[in-house]
Amino acid sequence: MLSSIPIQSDVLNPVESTFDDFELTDIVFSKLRPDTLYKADTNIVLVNIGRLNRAGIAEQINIINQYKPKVIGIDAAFRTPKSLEGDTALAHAMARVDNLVLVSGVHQFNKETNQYDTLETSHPMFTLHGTTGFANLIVESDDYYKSCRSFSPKENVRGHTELAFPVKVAQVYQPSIIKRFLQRDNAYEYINYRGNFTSGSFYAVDVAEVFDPEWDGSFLKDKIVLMGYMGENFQSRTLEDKLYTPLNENYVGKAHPDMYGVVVHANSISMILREEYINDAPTVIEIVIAVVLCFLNVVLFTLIMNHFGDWYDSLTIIWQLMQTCIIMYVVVALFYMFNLKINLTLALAAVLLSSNALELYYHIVLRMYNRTHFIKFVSNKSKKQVT
Amino acid sequence: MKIITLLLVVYTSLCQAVFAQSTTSPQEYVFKVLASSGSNSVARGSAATDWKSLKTGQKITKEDKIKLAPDSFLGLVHKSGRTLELKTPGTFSASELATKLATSQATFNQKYVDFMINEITKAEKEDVNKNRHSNMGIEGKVERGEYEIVARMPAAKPTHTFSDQVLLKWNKLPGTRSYKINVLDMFDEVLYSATTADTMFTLDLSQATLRKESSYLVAISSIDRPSATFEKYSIAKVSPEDALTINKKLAQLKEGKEETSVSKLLQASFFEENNLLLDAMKAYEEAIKLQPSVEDYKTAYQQFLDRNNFQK
Repeated sequence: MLSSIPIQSDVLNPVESTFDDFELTDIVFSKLRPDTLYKADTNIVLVNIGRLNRAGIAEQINIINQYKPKVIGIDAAFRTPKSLEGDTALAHAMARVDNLVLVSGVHQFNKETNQYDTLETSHPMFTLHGTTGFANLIVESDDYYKSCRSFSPKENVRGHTELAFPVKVAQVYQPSIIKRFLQRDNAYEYINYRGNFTSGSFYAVDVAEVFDPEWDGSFLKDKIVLMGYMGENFQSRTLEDKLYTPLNENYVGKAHPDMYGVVVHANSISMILREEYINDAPTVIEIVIAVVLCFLNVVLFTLIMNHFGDWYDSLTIIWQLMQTCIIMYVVVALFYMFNLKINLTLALAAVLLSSNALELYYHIVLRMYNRTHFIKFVSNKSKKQVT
Repeated sequence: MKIITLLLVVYTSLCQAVFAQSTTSPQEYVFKVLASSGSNSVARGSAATDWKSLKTGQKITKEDKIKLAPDSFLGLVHKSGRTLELKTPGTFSASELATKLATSQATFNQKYVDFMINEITKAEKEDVNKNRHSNMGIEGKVERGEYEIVARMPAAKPTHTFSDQVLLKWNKLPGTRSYKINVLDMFDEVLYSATTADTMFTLDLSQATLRKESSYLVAISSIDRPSATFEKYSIAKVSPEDALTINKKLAQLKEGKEETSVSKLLQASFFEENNLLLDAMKAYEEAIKLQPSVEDYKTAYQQFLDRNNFQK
C-alpha cells in the first residue's frame, strides 16, 4: 500500500528500498499471530528426502507406504531416466502407493490462447502411477528475494486443466473441500500461513529417522505425507529451494529465506483443509470508503477553515496523520480478525489530498468562478444600459 | 508542497515510531552497507545517541556513527566505489572512515556496487497477482536429475572462463571416498587426471598438459562407485583479445585495493556481467571463505546460482 504512493524523491530512497516487498499485512504473520494460535496440523506429515538418490527415495516411499497414509505427495521431479536400478526401484515403489501426487511445472504462457504451452512432468514411468499438480508459486518478478504470498489454484495447459500441487493433494485427501474451494473461482489465492515446521506447525520427519529400524510411523495412517527437500538434514543450513515468506522475522528490510518449497505447499494444503481463506475486499467497497472519507474530510475541513482559519494547516495535518494511522490499523485489524485484505490506498490518497484540494477550491477555483460571474454580470448590465 | 511535507512526515513517523527498523537522512551519503553480520548499529548525526540496527543497503552520511559489536562484520562501499571492511569492535565516525580512504578515482566499480546492492534491495512495483503468469517462474520443488554426480555448472554450454584456475564443485555421492577428475580434449583423449577426497577441486589450466588447448571436457566420477552416472562439462577459455579487455577492466576494478570479501563480491558481479560465470562463482566462494559468518554473501551467492540456472 505504501509503495503505491506516487512520490519520487531521492531523499526517500533508503526508505523505499527498505519497504520494498513489504505489505502491511505481513506484520500479522510475522509478529501479531501468536505461535500458539494454530497447533500443529495433524493431517499433514512432512518427510525430508535430503540428498537421497532415486533408489533412496524409493526405499523411503516403501517404508512410509507400510503405514498406509491416505496420500503421498512428492515435491521432487524425476524428468529423465537415470540408472536402471534406481529408476526401477522408484517406479515399483510408486506403483505400490494407492494415492500418489507428483509435481509438474507450467511453462511458457501463451497470451494469445490464454493458456500455458508446456507442462513439464516427471518421466511417464513415474507419472503412470499417480497424478500431477504444478508446483509454480507466485513470486514477484520471479525474484527469489521476494516473498511468496500466493499461488494459482489451477491453470490451463493446452486445453487441459492442471491443478496446483497443494490443490491436487488436498483433492485426493478430501474431494468435497476442493469442490467448494474451486467454486470460489479465484485466479489466485493468498496463502494463509500456519507456520514453519521448525516452529512445530507441522509434523516433520528427517531423512535418517525414516530409515531407523526403531522408528514407528504408525501415526502416518490416513494422513497426507509430503516428501520434499528440507536440507541435507534438519540441522544443516542451506538456501536451496528456500523462499521468503511473510513469516520472515525481518518483515521490513532484508533477511534470509525462511521456508522450504515443500513447507509452503504444506501451508497451502493446511489452509484449504481448514477452509480459512484470505479474501480480497471488493474494489467497490474500497472506492466507497474513499469517497465517504473524502466527503467527511471536506465537510470537516470546511468547518475548520470557517471557524479556525488560522489553525487550518496545523489542524488538518494532525488530523490527516491520525487518519493515516487509523487506516493502517484498520487494514491490519481486518486481516488479523477476518482474514480480509483491503486496499485502502485510494482512501489514504483521498485523506492526504482532501485538505489541499479544498484550499485549491476555495482560493482559486471559487475566486475564478466568482470573478467570471462578476464580469458576466457587469457586462450584461452595461449592455442593458446601452440598449 | 504541503503534501510532500506531509508524506515525508508520514514516512518518517512510520519508520521511527511504528516500525523502528529503518532510518532516513536527507543528507548525502558517504557509504552504503553492502553486507552486515552481527549486531551492528548506527546513530544518526554526530551528537546522536540513539543507536539503531544497521541494514544491508542502508546509506550512511558523514555525520553518522557506526558501532560494531564483537564478532561482527561490516562491508561498506564508499560513494566513490571504494570498499571498506570493518571487523574490529568499536565505534567509528563515518567522516573519519571516509577520510581514511584514499581519494583516488575509483568510479568504475560504482555500477557493480549498485548492482550488488540492487540485487539485495531492489524495488519492483506491480500487482503480482493480477500479472501472475509473468510471476510464476519459481517452483517450490527440487530436481532429482539424470546424473548422480552433478557439478555446479551453469546450464548454458560451453562455459567460458577467464581465469586459469577453474573452481570445480560437485555434490557428495553417498558411498564415495574419492573422486576422479578427468580433463579431456574434444576427441575424448585424456589430457589430465587427478583424484581428490573433497567435493571441490581447483583445476589449473596453465599447466603444461592443458596450456595449449582452448576448450576442454571435464568429467568427475566416483572411484568407489564407477557405475555412478556423471556428465561431461564443456569449458572454454575466453579468446586472447577478450582476455586482454577483461584484464584491463579487472585491473581498474581492483585498482589500489587490497583483496577483501567486499571486493570479491564486486568482482563476482563484474564477472557475471561479462558472462564469466565460473569466475563469478569462484569470486563468491572466495568472498564467503573470507567472511564465512556473513549470511548476506551466502544469500547473494544462492541468488546468483538460481539466476544463472546452475545445475544442482
